[in-house]
Amino acid sequence: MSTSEDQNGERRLTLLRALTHGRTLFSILMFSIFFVMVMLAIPYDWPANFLPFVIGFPGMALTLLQIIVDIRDFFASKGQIDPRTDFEKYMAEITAHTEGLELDYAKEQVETLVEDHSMVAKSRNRQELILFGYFFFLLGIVLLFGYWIGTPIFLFLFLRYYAKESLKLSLMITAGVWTSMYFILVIVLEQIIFEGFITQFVVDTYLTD
Amino acid sequence: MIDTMMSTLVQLLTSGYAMYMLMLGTLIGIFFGAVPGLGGRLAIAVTIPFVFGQPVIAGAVFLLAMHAVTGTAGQISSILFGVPGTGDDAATIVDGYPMAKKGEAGVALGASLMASGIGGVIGAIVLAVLIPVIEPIVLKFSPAEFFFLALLGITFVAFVSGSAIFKGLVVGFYGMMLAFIGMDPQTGIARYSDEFLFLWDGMDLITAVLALFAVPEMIHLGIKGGAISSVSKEMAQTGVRAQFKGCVITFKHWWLVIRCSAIGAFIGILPGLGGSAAAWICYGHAVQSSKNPETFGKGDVRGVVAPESATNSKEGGSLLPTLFFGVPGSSGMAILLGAWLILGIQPGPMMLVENLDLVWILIWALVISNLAAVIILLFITRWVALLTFLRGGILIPCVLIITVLGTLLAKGQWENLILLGILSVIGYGLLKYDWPRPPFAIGIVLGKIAEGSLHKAWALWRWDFFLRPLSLILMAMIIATIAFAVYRGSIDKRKRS
Repeated sequence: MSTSEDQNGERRLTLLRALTHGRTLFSILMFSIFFVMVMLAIPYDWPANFLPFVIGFPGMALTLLQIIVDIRDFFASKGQIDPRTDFEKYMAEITAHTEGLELDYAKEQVETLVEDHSMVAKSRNRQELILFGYFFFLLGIVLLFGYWIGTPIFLFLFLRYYAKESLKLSLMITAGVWTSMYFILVIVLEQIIFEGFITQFVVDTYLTD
Repeated sequence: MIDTMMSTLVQLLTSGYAMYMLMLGTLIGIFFGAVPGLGGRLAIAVTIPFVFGQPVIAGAVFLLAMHAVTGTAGQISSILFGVPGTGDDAATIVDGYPMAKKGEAGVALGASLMASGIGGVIGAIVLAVLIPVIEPIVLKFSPAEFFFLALLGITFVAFVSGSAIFKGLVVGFYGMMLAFIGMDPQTGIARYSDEFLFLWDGMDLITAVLALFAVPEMIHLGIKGGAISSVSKEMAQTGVRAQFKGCVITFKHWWLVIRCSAIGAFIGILPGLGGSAAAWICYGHAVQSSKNPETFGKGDVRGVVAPESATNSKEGGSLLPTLFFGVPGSSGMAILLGAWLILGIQPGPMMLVENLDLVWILIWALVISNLAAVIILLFITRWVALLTFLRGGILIPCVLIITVLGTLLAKGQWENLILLGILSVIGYGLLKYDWPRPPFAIGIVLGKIAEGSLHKAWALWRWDFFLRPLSLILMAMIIATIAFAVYRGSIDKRKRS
């Protein structure tokens, strides 16, 4: 009894793990996009809903099949899916076959990756979150304070705290990039770029008659 | 005819002021093309006040030269950073950026510049050759043919997906679904956009392309660490020799360049398809006609040469309907047309009778500006290519702020920043889990054209639109393309097993 339960338990756990693995989750996300778009198209009059249906239903079917393929791949690899992209694997292959070429994808790194995928995947996921955090911070700060205030703040913080550049270099790069862009876009081309909600509010409330 | 051709060339070359304006236009065009989000349309819009009151020839030549070379310059950021200068340059990223990663930025730039130059010249030649015979050909194309042409482009998804045809189809469909966002021209229903006014005009192509290509590549660079180029500076090919090698490689693929230039010029002639369609159709054609398609997407130089020759030759083609029918072949040409009207040029069939000299001068201006842009950029890009060795930590924030700038400048709408954020997450997912991204761009570019043309054709002819002679030819081409994809897929499978 206990053996059978363990086996069932292990299978259930693995299926859950397969469904929550990044690859499968992404396929589920793609399926959801098609599903939501098809559902939203139902109330539209013909012919506005014609092509969304013609494209959406096959899209849903294909992504469902992809989910099954992902789950199958997960089981086949015993949960140890190589986190590298196809291009990285391709580059690693080149490295393995080319002597003297100093690539980032060194042989040792490749071997480490093959040995323990889950460790590398975890470290990658953390890096991804940090980088996306910075990217969304950039979008947020530009939306709130505008391009000309937001970008130098983002640039300086990224250089100083993510790239760990020196204070002097971070300030120099920030000042150089900002000045050259401002000169070309605002002074020469007279482009008006989004000023940000808070900046606009402050200008409208306090700085205009 | 030949007398007019030669005399106008001499007239242009010996006119100091016109040549000065041509070179100035070329330089300004290079700048506007190189900065993501600016592009040829903005260049013309910004400089219209400057040409007002100028002599007709000098003003017209200035505007055309500026518009013609933006595509040539736009490829620089596409290849080096995966950030397209304009939507038309997106196809170049697919193989250009992997080449930069492999330390072959110089070769990629040399090849793309040479292909652009040749494409521009072939476009001008096509324009010159077709002048006497163009009218009946253009008039044969109706919405039915546009629909099948767009469908033909979409079938190329099967080829640009590499070994992941399944995933490629899903991504292509996804691009098409996003293309349906916005006001449906048939019913007036705001599909998927409801109260979001910024979406009524459809999804912004530049935002979508930046989100699918530029942002994911920068995030990936941050994770990978190091610089864009995986090869050390000493081992990489970025100098003059590499560029020269790229130029020579372009000539090795001369037949592909000529084919893609001809396709690009032809697409340019047809109003409404645009440069992005030309680039993606030619990219698909290059993959389809290749004996080893598996190298595409991993830094195959043919994937750079094909779209670049097409986007530049398209300019020559799109001049035809603009000049002789007053129908602009692209949105850029529409602004150019407006600027020419300000200068006192009246486009229409009478141009052939009353203003043939000006027509030839414009054709020569197209040739000279393209060649000048290639020479100038060959000098400049050898230094720009060194940026691929810059530490990722410095490069990533700079590229990200340029991406945000491109998004804001494209349509001037802040809402696109939110779209950029959402689509970037999906774009990164596609990159991370090995879903091919080029089908997305094909879907979003051609989906809208296909839908609009289908409804128009249906309203005009109902089922009969399938039976028009050109429709039948295009349908045969689509069936042949699909059959070829299936055949090659089965051959590949047999090889693998």
